[in-house]
Amino acid sequence: MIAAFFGLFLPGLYIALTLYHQEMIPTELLTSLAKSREALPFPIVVEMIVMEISWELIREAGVSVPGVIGQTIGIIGVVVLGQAAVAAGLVSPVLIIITAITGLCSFAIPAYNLAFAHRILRFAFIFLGAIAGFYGIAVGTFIFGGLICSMKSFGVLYVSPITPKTKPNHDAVIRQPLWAQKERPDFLNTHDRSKTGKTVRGWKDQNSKGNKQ
Amino acid sequence: MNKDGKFGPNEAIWMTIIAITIKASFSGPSNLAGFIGNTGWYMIYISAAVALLGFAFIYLVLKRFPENNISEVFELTFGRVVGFIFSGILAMYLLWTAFSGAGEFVQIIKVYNFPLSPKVYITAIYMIGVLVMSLLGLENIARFTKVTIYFTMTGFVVIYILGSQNFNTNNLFPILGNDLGKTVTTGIVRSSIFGEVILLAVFA
Repeated sequence: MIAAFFGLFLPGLYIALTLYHQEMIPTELLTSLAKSREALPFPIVVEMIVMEISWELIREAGVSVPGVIGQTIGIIGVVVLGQAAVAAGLVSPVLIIITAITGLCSFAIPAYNLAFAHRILRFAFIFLGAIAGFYGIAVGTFIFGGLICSMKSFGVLYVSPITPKTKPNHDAVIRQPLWAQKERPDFLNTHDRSKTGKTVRGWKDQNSKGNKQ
Repeated sequence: MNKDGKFGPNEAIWMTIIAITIKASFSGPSNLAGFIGNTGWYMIYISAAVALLGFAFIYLVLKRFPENNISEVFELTFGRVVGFIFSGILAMYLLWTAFSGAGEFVQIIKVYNFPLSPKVYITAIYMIGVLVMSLLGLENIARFTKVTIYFTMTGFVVIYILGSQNFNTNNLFPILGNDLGKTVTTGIVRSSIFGEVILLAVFA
């Protein structure tokens, strides 16, 4: 969840902080950020978009090339390109760190399809952070959140079982052991709610009976 | 059981709480301190009691007409013409609340975040969000409230915990403040901050 949050919002938040809300950054950090950006020719938004596109290209190249070479290309590409970009004075070192953390966070999302959606939405939040700071990101979250809440698949809402509230199935936030999940998810409206018979872990009952005898 | 096309009491209650909490938190304390002194802490309870009376009245009406919304109740009880007038007044009240709420929100954003940006720019961004959510409908707004409530409430609690270093119990006294009458009057007048409860009545 933390990875999903940073993977989606970190570049946008960085842009919002540096462009609109500098008062939130501690003075020492602000000074170091300003120093690192002194000699750079591009605005921070352009830098961020260039770095994000470069990251996506490296990732795509790594996926396309088969086997171990793909991973090697990714690592070499990131190291060489990042080092060269900083040395050439095209991007600031802080931006490299932000892009790297964002990339790692997006890889940490277990659902691959969700990670794809995050990659696309990340660009939207960079844009929103650039035009209106935290306010823009808040409005964007509101809009995308509303759209997510309106999504349905075969009549089942995407945000089930958080809302609408249905009978608990003990697998939403904290997952109980499989033998404790005796019923199918309520929000799926299945004809038969029971997932297992009553004899789950029957050996336990037999043991307890045996002990009594 | 997943019931398609409706939001439950759970979502409705959270939505109302969010609407009221935001209004009470942002628009109150400093104004109140200048207005009625140190009695602001229990003036809010007077406002809540008055709003509760109003809502109890609406609840009784809706209980009497379980299948109808409030504008249909107006039409059934007062007839077509007078009912239409009352429904129109209610619609205008809601429109006025929306406008004043939007204006207040833009003012706050301008003061806190964007002192140099023109108001029209802030309002335009706000209106885009409102427009999209209006198109999606109240059901999705309520659902989104339920999804985000855990984070929002954590945020509120953290704000109050961080502000706790400025709490001073001596400020609660003298208990009657400068003028009890003024406190009660202000409490009754400011009961409109709980007006969002009408959301439940209109869409119940």
